[in-house]
Amino acid sequence: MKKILVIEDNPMVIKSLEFKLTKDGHEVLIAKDGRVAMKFLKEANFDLILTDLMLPFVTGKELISYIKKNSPQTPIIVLSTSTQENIIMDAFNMGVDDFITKPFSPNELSLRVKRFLNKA
Amino acid sequence: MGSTLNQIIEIASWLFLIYGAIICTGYLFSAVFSLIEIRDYKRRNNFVDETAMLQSLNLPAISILAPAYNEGLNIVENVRSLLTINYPSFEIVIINDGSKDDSLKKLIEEYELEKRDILHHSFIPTKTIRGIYKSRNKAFKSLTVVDKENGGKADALNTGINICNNSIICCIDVDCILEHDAMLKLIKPFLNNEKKVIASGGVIRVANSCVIEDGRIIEVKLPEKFIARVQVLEYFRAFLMGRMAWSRVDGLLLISGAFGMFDKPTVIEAGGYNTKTVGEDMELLVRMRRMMREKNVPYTVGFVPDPLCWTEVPQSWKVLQSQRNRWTRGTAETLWIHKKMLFNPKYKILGMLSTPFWFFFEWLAPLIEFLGVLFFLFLLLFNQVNWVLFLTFFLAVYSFAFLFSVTALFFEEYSFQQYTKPKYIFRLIGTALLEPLLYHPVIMWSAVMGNFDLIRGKKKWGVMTRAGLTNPVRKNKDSD
Amino acid sequence: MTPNLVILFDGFSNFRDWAWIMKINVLIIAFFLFLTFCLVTFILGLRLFKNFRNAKKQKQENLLIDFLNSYLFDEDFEKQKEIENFKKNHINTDLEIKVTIKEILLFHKNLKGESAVALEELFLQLQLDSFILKDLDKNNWYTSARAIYALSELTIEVPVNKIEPYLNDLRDEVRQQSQLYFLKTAKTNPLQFLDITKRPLTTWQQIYIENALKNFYEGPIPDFAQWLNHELISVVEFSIRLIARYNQFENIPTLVPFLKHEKESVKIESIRSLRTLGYEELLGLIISDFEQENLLIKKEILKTIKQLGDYNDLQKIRPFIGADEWELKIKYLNIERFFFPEKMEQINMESMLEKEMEI
Repeated sequence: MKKILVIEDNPMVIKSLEFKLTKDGHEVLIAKDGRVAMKFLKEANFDLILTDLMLPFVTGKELISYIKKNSPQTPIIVLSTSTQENIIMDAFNMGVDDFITKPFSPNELSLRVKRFLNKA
Repeated sequence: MGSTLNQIIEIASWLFLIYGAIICTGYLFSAVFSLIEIRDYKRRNNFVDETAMLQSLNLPAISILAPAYNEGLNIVENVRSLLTINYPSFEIVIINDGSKDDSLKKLIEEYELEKRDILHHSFIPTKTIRGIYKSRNKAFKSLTVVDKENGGKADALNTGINICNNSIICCIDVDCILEHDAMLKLIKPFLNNEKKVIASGGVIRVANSCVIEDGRIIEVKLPEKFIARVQVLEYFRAFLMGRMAWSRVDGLLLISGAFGMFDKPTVIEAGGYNTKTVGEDMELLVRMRRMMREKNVPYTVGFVPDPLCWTEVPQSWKVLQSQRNRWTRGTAETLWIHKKMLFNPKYKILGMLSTPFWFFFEWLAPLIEFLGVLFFLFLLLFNQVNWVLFLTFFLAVYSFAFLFSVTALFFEEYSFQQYTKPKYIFRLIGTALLEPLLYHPVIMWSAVMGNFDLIRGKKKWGVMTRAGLTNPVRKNKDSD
Repeated sequence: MTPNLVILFDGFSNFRDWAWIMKINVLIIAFFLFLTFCLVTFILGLRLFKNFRNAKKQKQENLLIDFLNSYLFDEDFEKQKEIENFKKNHINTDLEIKVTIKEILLFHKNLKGESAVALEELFLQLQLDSFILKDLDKNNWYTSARAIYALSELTIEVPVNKIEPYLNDLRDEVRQQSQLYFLKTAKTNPLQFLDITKRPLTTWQQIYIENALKNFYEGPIPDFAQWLNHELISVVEFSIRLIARYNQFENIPTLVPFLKHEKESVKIESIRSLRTLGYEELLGLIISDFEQENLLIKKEILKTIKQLGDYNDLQKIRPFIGADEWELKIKYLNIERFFFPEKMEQINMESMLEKEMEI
C-alpha cells in the first residue's frame, strides 16, 4: 500500500481528499500546516506528497525545497488556488511534478496520483 | 464664602451634567452605529470568496512595511510568519532602524541575504540608508531588508515608503500577529472604489497570555494580569464602539500604527510620517484627510470591523504610564498642528465633529477630571464636601463607566466571541467593575503628566522594554 | 457628616435646585444600572444560545460531511435509499436546511468536474431548491443575495425577470450575485447583463466576474469589443482589460483609438492591453506623446518600452524626464539595467546625473 502525505489547511478539502484517496486504496497522512508537515517529513518516507503552497507556519515553497533536498525521488503534486503563471512556473522550476489548481476535480486528482505512484 | 462656593458648585454641577449628557449621547450613537456596522459586516462577509480573490490578477500588489528596532529576540520568527501571508502578490520590507543588537545579523543569516545595489530616491527625507539586502534564495524572493541609521519609527516607515515598489502600503509593527486572511480583508475597502480610498484599518486585539506559536495565535486566552485585562476592555470600547461608529460617519481620525493600509501616492503627497511628533500614526491620517479635503477630492477611509491583528500591550504599570503619556502628547501635538480644522465647516465631519470630539472628550477629559479631583480635595480641605451630592455624582459616573464596558462586552459577544470560555465573561465583568477604581486614576494621571511633559518639552518615546510576547507555550523552529 | 449637610442645605436659597440635581443623578444611576443589568442578561443569554446553536450546527455539519463524501466517492453507497433517508430525517428544521445548503455549496465551491455535477443533482433530489426560491422573494437584501448565490453556484435556472431587477439594486452584494447568476447560467454571451447595468462596476465585482468567466462559464468567449462604447467608464475599462486577457488580437484596431481617450484611466488600460497583446505599433503611437502625458501614463509608457522596445526607444524619451521626476528616473535606470545587465554597477544615480550635465 502506498503512503501519501497530504499537506492542506482547508478542512473540507482535507476530509474529501482523505476519503477519496483512502477509498482508492492508499494510506493517507494529513498535515494541517507547514510545521506538522516538516515533522512528518523528518520522521517518515512517503511515496507521494500532495501539498498546497499557502500554508501556515512554513511556506509551501520551503517545504518543496526541503523535500527536493532530502528525498528528491518522491513525486510532488501541488494543489493550489494560485493560477498565476509566475507562481506555477516557480513551482515547476523548483522541481514539482504536477500542479493542480483549485477548484479541483477529485477524479482527475485520483488519476494523476495513481499515475505518479505507478511510475515509481 | 459659603454662597459663592455654592454657586461654583452649582455651575460646576450643571457643566458636569452637560458634559456628561454629551458623552452619553455619544455613547448612544456609537452603540447604535456599531451595532448596524457589525451586523452589516457579518452579512457582507458571507459573500467573500477567498479563492476568487487569490486567483485574481486585479488584486493590487501590496508592500508590507515593518520597522524594527532591537527586535533581535523574535525578528526571525516574525519575518517568517509575514512570509506566509495569504495574498497573491506582496513584498515585505523590513527596516532595521539602526538596531544596537544582532537583529540584522540574524536576518542576514536566516534568510541568506546579500547587499544589493537597488536604485532608490528619498521622496520623503529620511536618515541615511546603510544598505539594502535581498535574498539569494528564491523562496524568500519577496523579502527586502533595509539597514539605516536610527531615526525613530516614523523615519523608518518613511524609508520603507521610499524604497518599496507597490502603490498600496501596509504599515505594521513587526511583532504583531496577523490573522491569516488579514490582508485580503484589509484590501477590500480599496476595491469598492466608488470613491478614492486613502487608508483602511481594522480591529486590533490584545495578544497577552494567548498561546502563540511561530507567529500564529493557536489559542485565545484572557490575559492573566489585571492590567492587561483592563486593556482588553479598553480595546473593546475603542474598536468595537468608537472606531466603528466613527467610520460609519466617515470621521475616523486614527488608524492604528500597529496595522494599517494606505495609498502610497497620497501618503507621499501629504509628506509621509511626521518625525517630530510621537503620535505619528494619528497625525498622518489627519494630515492626509485634511489634504484631500483641501484639494476637494471625494475620498473615504475604510474600516474593517474584523479582528485582524494581535498585539502585546504593556503589562507593567511603568510601561503603561509611559505609553499613555506618549499617546496624550501625540494627541495634543496632532490637535495643535491641525488646530485650524477645529469647528471649521470647510472640513465637514472632520472639522465639525471629529476634531472637536477628540479635543473635548479625548484630550480635555482627563484634565477636567483632574480639575474635578483637585476641586474635591479643595472642598475636603475646607470641610465643605456635600457627601451625598458627591456620592451621587461619583456613582453616576461609575455606573456609566461600567455600562459602557458592559456594552462593549455585549458587542464582542454579538460579533466575534473570541474569548470562548464562560469564565472569561465573568472575569471581564469583574474587571469592568474594578477598572474605574484601580485603573482609570492611573490613566488620568499619565494623561495629565503627558500634557505637563509636553509643555516642558519632552520629546522621547520613554520606557519600552521588549520582553517578547509573554505566553506559556513558545516554540522555536529549532527546538522541534 | 450630617451637621455639614444641614449647614449646606440651610446655607443657600436654591435648595430645590440642589435636590433636583441629586434627584437627576439618582435617576441616572438607576437607569444605567438597569441598562447594565439588561445587557449582562443579554450577554449570558446570547452566549448560551450561541453555544446551543453551534453544537447543533456542528452535529449537522459532521453528518453532512460523511454523507456527501460517501455519496461522491463511495461506490457501495446506495444513493436512492440514503437520499430518501436523509430527506426524511435531517432536513426538517430551518437550521438543518441552512447548514445543508451551506455545506453542499462549500463542497461545490471546492470541487469541479463530475463531483460538482453530482452535487448539483443531489441538491435537486433533496428538493432544497424550493427553499431557495422562497428565500429569493423575501424582502431583505442578504437573504435574496444568498439565494441568488446558491442558484448561481449550482446553476439552477429561474425565470429571468426574477433576477433582473436585482442587477441595479442599491446593495453591492445583491448586484454582484445577480451578475454572477447571469454569467454562470448563460450558455452564450455570459456578459449580456452589462447591457442593462447602470451602476459602476467596482474592482471587487470585476474580480468575481473574471473569476467566474474563467472557472465557471463553458460557452464561447464573447467579443468584448461590444462594450467599448458603454456609458459606464468602468465597463469600458473592464472590456479593454478582458480583450487582452483573452487574447482577442482581432480587436487591436478597435482598441487603438482609445489610446487618445479623454479619460486617463481608459488610456492606461488601453496601453496595458495593447502591450499584453504585443502590438508592435504601440510604441510608435505612445512615445511621441510622452512629453504631454501625466505621471501615471509616463510610467505605463516606460513599462511598454521595457516589454516591447529597446534602448533606442529609451533614449527617445530620455530628454523628457525632468530633473526632479525621480520616480521616472529610477524606472528609466532600472530598464536600462535590464537592457544591459552586464553594466548593472555602472548604471546608477550618478550616471543619470552625468547625463543631465551632458544635455
